[in-house]
Amino acid sequence: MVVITPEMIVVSIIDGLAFAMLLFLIASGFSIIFGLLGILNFAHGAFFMMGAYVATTLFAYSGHNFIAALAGATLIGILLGVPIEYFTLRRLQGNPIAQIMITLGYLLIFTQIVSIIWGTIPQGGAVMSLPPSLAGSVTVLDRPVPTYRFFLIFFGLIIAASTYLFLTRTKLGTIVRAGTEDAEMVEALGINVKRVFILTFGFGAALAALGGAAAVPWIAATPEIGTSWLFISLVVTVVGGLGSFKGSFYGSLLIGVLHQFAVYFIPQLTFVIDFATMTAVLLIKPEGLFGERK
Amino acid sequence: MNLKISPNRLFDVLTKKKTVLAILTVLFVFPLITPSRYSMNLLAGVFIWALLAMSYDLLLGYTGLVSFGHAALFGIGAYVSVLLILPPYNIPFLPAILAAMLFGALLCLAMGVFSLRVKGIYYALVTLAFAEMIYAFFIKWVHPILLKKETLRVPVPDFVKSTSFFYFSVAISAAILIILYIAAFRDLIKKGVLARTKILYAVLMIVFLALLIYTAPQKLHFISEGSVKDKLPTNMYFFALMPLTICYLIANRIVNSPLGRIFVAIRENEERAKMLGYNVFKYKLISSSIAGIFAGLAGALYAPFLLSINPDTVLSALVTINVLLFSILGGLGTLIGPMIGAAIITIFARELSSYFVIELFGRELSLWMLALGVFYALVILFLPYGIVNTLRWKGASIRKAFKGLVKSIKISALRKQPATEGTL
Repeated sequence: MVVITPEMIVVSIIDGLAFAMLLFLIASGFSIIFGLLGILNFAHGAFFMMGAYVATTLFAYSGHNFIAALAGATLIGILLGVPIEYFTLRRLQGNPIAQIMITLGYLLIFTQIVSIIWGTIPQGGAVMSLPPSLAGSVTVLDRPVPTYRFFLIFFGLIIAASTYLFLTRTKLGTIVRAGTEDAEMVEALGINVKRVFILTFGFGAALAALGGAAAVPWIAATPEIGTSWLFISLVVTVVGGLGSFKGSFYGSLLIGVLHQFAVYFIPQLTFVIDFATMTAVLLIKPEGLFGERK
Repeated sequence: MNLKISPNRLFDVLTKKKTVLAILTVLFVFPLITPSRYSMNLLAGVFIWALLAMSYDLLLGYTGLVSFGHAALFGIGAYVSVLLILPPYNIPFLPAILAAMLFGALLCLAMGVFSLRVKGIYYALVTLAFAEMIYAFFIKWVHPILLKKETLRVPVPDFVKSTSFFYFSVAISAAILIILYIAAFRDLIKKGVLARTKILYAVLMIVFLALLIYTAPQKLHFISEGSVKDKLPTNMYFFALMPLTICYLIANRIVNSPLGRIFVAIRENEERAKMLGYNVFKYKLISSSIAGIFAGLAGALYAPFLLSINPDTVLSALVTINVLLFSILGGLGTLIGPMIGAAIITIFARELSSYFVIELFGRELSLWMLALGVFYALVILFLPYGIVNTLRWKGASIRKAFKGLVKSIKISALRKQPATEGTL
């Protein structure tokens, strides 16, 4: 059994917060897409994975330019998400099972594409030589913590705050929130909901791909990360409440910290803890912590 | 449960489903006609996946429960049967299969008591959570700590290897055939009308019977002279086909009974079923337990077929994805559809996967999974209700169009007649 010391608790909380921000990037888009389009978008794991892989390649070819890697990954997210919504999901409107199944199909397809292009050798991870301002480590209670973790927390909070402001302070954001409540009613008010759908889907895909790019200096990209991160983001979204932006933020904080606690102290049970938390939340409050009963 | 199974009702089901009867006859006679080890082995796998797909259809197609935890039932069935056969317990295979079915049902009950309290997509996620937890439990706990090895080798049960099992299975299939024939002929005699299609049907059956009788001695000789290796695939074929047939007949009986109607009522409108006074929770539990029994059985049959099992082959989410794919491709709510889906994909995977290997960037790559994924997406996009359902609708509309055409010809003929008469 691992000895629990105060330093380790602090370090695991910092790791947990950084992990939570990555979770938030993938889960928030997932949650908004579910709220607005009513699709449980399994392809979100694929966007995350593609973001991670494209970032490693761009990083290598652009002379270790991290900003370019992040931007390129975001662009890839949009380029994948928009056609998927426009050409396939839109055709299947009114058949939710088929919509879920086809996104599952995309996850399979992209997992295969990734293992064909990049192979099964992990890409990126701790070997990536980040710019010096992010590469070092900070000593917290005599233990070195990579600076990158602090960057992730900072970065995630900025994205969360700006998305929150976008959703609450702009007209488009208001439409998205109204659409989450009742998309038909919004359409009846004379708003082109389909255009809002495609924007939201593209935005969610871009956030997931950005999350993948931000994760890759810490967590190496393998063909499995699509599925495993999809599962964690499912857990996060369900814990927070499907369709709730606020829920996905607090849900990812809860699951992120719990997950990293498990990684530090009971490594055999990491996945069990995530799913057990989800099951417990569902049984006590089936609509999630911040969800509304419909 | 108002589920009466009397021989007469069973015969009715058989005689009404001519296609199923024909398929069953062909399947039972097939190994006696071609003794190819490869095709026997391939089809045995198809039957096991078909059984699993059928059990999934009871849940998703008939009761409308989107479960993502089907792999858990399959895997538990496989592990329970194998762990009971292996040394510490040394239980014979048949009781082990029964135990696997029991465990499948119990697991379903345990999962259902928790997960059926939530609905729709939440139910799917809780079942996924259960399946992933069981997978993690096996990969992190059972294998490294209890078993101390990564894969579990499965001994082929002695009776499957034996020649007497072959004779036994031939006897069983003969018995099944005789029952089917009696049923069919009883239908012919009872109706008293030897319609043309029925004569054709009878002739076809007689041809099959003749082929069977003609080729049986040859095949029996081959089997009794051949080594265990020659016998095993054929025995495996019957070993998988017999449970599949029995389970199909039972499932077919269930979905056509009042119980099955209640399942469909729940699928169509749960609130309405509740208002009509049905205990929806209870019926969902019954439905998932039946599915659990069949899935456990499929798992128990899959273990000796695969010869070694590990959590990745029987418990991972890939099993669930496969079953989903079979069901979607074949058509939900048809029982036979998912089986056809399983057959198509399993056979194509074995036959075509070698053509999808290419050399790219100096590596040998298999594009098969990619092709399968694209195929899957195309099927959902263009046949969202599956092959069988689409065929039924198309068939119905073609028949309707044909009838309409006949009618319009008749009408125009009728219209012409008065006109010609009028000139007189």
